Amino acid sequence: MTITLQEQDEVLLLAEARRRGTDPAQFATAALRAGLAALATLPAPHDTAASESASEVDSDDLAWWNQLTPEEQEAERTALRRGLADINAGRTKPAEEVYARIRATYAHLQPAAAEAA
Amino acid sequence: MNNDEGSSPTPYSIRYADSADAEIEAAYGWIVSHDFAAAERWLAGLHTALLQRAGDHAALPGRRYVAPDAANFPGRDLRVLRYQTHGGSIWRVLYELRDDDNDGNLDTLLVAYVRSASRPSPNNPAASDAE
Repeated sequence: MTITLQEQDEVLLLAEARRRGTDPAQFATAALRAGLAALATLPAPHDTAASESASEVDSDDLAWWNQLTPEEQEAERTALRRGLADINAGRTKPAEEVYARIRATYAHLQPAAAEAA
Repeated sequence: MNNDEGSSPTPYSIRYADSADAEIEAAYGWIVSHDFAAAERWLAGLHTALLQRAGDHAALPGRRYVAPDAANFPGRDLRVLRYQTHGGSIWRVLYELRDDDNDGNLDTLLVAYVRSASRPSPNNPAASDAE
């Protein structure tokens, strides 16, 4: 693997090595190792595709998604496939109809109704 | 409830896929069995959040709120809303925007999926929403 330093990085490394009174080459190697080690501790996304177009992706949701295990991600995808299949097949309802049905189903649990019963 | 509740009028109608409908009913059913008022807050809040998001898309079109899962569904324009009532669990709502009347303007927000992002046990799908 070839690691290329930007000129400004080289200058900074040389300056820091001089300030510390150490060998510039050894200091640069140690600094690079420390940087690579820090990178290695960052959580790797389970799904690299999810990292694409990161600026458009909801960052909170991306953080949540990346902490799921591959099995958990697959479970989410399976649930989503069901919804998309419903949409493809036209199996959708207006929100108002959904809310009205749900409220009617559980109306008996409303405190006043429950007391009356 | 109608589309005028809790938000300014939006050009979008909101529809649920049948499976998302079932997910909402399961969540509401669990919360309402513990606290009727909390269930109502949750359901009304969900609709308000969707209306606000639809209004947001209408005011400023563009590819925002893209769901991380979208990369696995090429050709679908999946967006995500993270919904949370005060002190409650976070719910993940995945949706698409559609031009259902083919007039060149997006007019429908279609919800494909509503699931708890805290993924508690199946017997306790939304514990903190009922607290």
